[in-house]
Amino acid sequence: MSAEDIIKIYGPSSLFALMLIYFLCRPEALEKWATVLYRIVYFITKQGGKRIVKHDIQSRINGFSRVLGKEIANYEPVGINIEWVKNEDVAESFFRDDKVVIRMRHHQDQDKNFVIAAMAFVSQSILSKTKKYLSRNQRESIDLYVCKDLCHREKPRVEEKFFDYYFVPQTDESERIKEFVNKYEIMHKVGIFYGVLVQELNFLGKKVFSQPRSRNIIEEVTHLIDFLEKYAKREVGDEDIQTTFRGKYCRCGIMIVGKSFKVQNGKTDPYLNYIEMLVHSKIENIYLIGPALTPHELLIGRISTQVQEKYGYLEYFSKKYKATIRIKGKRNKVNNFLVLMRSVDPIRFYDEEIEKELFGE
Amino acid sequence: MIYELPKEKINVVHDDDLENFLEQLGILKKFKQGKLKCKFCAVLITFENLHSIFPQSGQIKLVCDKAECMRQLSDLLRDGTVKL
Repeated sequence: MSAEDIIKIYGPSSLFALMLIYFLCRPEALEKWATVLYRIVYFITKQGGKRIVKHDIQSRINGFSRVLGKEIANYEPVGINIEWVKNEDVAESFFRDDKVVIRMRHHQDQDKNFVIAAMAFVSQSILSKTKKYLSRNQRESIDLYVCKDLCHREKPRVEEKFFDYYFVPQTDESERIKEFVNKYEIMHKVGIFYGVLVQELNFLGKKVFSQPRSRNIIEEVTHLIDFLEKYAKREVGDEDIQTTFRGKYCRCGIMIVGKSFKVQNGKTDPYLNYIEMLVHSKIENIYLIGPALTPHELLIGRISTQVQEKYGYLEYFSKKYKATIRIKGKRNKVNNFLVLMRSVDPIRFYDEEIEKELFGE
Repeated sequence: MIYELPKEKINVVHDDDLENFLEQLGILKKFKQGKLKCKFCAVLITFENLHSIFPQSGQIKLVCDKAECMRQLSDLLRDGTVKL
């Protein structure tokens, strides 16, 4: 039913009600319109420049964070609140709060303000628990890539500013960061940068407690990144590629439900046999991926139900997403469907005994 | 009903308030005289290149807007050594 139909049936006031519901569900959209209003006010009165800076940054970053909440199963979206330093008791509150104060320029230089605030926000808010355990190159490359994606969704000049200030200097300086970022780009094309990597890293941050940064975790994350990159480069139909990752901290498997003859056949047994093997290998997260077509989705749904009944896994998350997969060397755009099955009892590492019991010395 | 996100607060100072802010911190004179340096690269901090200010061990630290210095500040944020 279109907005026009709704107005015809329920009258013009229904449009107002729809808009109200929309803005209540998405306060950042309202903030975006408020920014437009403040710009008009500034144009006429030369007043309210600070409001433009504040609401423009907040609406854009909060909108992005909400999008991430839909793309990453275990990410609880966090917004940004730009708070101007107060004019009274400055010295006292500066030392008491013990926090960084970032300088914001006039709104005529808003692109610069935006990329600086965006990078600060991503550095502190994305994967904050996990990054304590990652190497400098790993955490910098993830922040850089997420922030690049944020700026990419903005106007081209914002992305250019981000490239000038952060992306080019950091990738020029570190070959390792450049390598990681290239791998993320390949993963992002097939829709598994947020949907699998960031998600797995988020799970990792929630299962490792109070441990110092260790070479083991850093190496395992590097292997996870390599595994997902190889998967992302896979040609459709290539069955030789590794589809499970059995690390000490990250244990995930990807199962593709794609072959037409298997889907038409409709039997779940071959898939369940494979999943049984994953369950016995203590794989905690199983990603079922297939084309977003009704027969495939129905079969994935049936597999999911049986996995829940038989192995007690949870259907943790499902989504449709766009991907570009390789067919005969060329990338093709497709719509995919993903279901994440998660063990109800993932291993958590909070003392040395658990580690020794599970993995030996 | 309003679906507000939980918020991370970021403390900022606008150019219009910068002089007052530095004055109250007691460093405006030095700032104008060009006597303040970046914590990371020791370059002179000016109105053009100032990126941020933060307290550390009772002292006031300033950061310039060079890529490497912003990078080092981001690293302190990730480590939790300093907070937004």
